[in-house]
Amino acid sequence: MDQTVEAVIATMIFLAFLAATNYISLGIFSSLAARETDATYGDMASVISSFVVLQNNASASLWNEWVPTTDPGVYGLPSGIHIEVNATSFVIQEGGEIVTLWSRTTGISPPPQKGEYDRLVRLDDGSVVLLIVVVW
Amino acid sequence: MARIYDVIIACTILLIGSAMAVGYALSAHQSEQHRDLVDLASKCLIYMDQQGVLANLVYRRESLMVQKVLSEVLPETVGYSFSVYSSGWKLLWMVDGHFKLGSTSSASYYLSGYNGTSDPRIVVLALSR
Repeated sequence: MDQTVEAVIATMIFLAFLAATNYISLGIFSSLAARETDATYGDMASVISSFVVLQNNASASLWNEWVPTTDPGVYGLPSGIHIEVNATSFVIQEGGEIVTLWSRTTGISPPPQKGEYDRLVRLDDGSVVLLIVVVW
Repeated sequence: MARIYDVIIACTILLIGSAMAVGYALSAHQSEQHRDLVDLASKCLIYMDQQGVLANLVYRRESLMVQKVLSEVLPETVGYSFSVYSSGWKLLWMVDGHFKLGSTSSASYYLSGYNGTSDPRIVVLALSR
């Protein structure tokens, strides 16, 4: 084979392979970067969830009076962050039946890319609160 | 022909390097996901036991009731797999709902017996999002 033709073919093969590898790698890394954004939102949701739990402790009366807010400034987060807080208090009875005591939701339905932190909090009256915080 | 062999070697090195970089990034990423699910699974099992529900459901094999309780207690976005093992880690029965393999977190709970008889069971609740 002519050496010039051979060099052109070798270069084309290498460049094609390099392009394909970069395309696949960049696709994977951009997907991971998007998930890292979700993880950051998840950390923010964790902060909000901890803030609410520290505020109300295990006191059933404090949880009863608690009004959830979606203002990021209240939790020390930058403005522009969207928050959804969903809390449900219930009791599991001995037979397995679940009695819902109260339920509160604030915020609007989030887009697919989001961070979520879920927590169960046992209260002093024997009930439990499922606290779901979603941030996007 | 020598240049073709050279390019094959170069492509192989490039492929190995890319695979290692992607593998490292994926493993570093997966280890940080869903930290809340371990705590959620653990507290869910503890609460069910404190209410006297867990042993009833496990020893009576009330799989439908387990599904009903977990689907109401856990958030809609969380899938679950509830498995019951003997003390020798033999799987006795299991139920699941919207459970996705991959990035999961789990908690286990030990039940020593039921109605005064010693009959150990290990309950594993795995959650996924």
